[in-house]
Amino acid sequence: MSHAPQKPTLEELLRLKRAERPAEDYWARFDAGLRAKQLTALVEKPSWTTRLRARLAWFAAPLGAAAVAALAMVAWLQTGPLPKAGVVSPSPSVAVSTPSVAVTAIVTPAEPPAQTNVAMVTPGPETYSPAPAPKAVVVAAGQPAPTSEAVPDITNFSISVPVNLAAVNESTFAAVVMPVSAPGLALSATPFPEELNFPSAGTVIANEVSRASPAPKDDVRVAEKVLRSLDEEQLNAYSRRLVALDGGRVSFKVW
Amino acid sequence: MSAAAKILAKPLVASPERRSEADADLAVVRRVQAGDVAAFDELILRYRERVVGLLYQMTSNREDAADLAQDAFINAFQSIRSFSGQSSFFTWLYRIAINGTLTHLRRHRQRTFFSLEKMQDDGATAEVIARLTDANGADRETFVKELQEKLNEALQKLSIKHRTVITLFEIDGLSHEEIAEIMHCSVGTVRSRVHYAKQLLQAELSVYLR
Repeated sequence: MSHAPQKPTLEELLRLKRAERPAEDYWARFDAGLRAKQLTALVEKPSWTTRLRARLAWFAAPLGAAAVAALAMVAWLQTGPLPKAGVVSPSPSVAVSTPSVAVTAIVTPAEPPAQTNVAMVTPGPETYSPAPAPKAVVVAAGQPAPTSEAVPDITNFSISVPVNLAAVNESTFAAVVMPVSAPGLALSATPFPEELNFPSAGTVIANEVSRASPAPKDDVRVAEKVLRSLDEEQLNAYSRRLVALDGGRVSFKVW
Repeated sequence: MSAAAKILAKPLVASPERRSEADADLAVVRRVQAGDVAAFDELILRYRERVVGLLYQMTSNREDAADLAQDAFINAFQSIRSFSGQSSFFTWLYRIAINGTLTHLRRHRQRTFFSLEKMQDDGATAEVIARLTDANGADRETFVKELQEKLNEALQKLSIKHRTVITLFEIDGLSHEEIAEIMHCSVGTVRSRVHYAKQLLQAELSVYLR
């Protein structure tokens, strides 16, 4: 007498799904897609709510202090005239603290590369003026460093290009706009290692930076320009080298 | 209980390994928060298969699962500074992934494009499939395909919340408590949803079940 095989339980049947595996090339495509999305995320503009919150943050402290002062005034008026001399009563005392805002131009000290001279023109740390953004200018070895008015001709950028932005320092990783016209912008540049063959993105970054306008409305999103300038194959290759924006620094890395 | 059944029944949660995983995750998260953004890749590598697996079970579509998992990792990365460590990283990541997937599923309710994946033929799977095949007297390959289709169909007939809970509990092996934390609901609600979902699945898949 043969036993009929016992049917599985629902739990066993469901757990069969744990054994489902995607095809071999799935993870390669997944990684490529993820890198592309990371790159895209870098160029997305923060939502209007984020920007509004950032702007309101500037006024939040004074407004709060003003509100407290107004309430104190109303309370004082409603309590009647001032007490007579000799009577000590607590009077409303409001300490208004003015938020101090120090905008600092962040400059990453770049090691001057062996074959290039890097001329950095940066504002002082306490300045916050609508002056044109400082630019890193790379010139061939032996040539004199250009003046600050000279149009930079940056054609050779590093895989590790730190773009320091004071404005982005206020943001989280989600703040992905790179307003190269922001005061305090500084670039440091080191040459590409030849074997990495990563010229296009560096050139695009350089060109966009050189065209940067001092007007805030003309903010140039460098990464977006890079993204648009690359075809799909390049994008996959290059986006693997793009890591993230962190504390005002955009890093391109190879791993 | 056979060895295969033990493997299938093995819980994936509430173990010392899980706790040490959580500690290791937190260390990596702290590195990312401190500016070592490349460290986030470690977390991606650590969790991509589980996240994609989970989302695949929820959507029954590999491409959707990949898209949604990628979005989840991007969102997690962008929000990582807000991660305080009160919950484990994986719970937090799952919550992000599931919220995104729930939104996606609500927007694409009518979409039923299933993708079938090859089942890994490990011991536990093989035993269950062998029992099913013998019991139904069917050709193995054809039967496995049919079974996958029926499973996917049955899962898709569940409501989004029930599908999510049954996936997390039975397929991903999370505890009721962890699911409650991820889904922002009570443990009782999770238990009730699991029970109800099982009843529905039992009815749908009765042909294959004892």
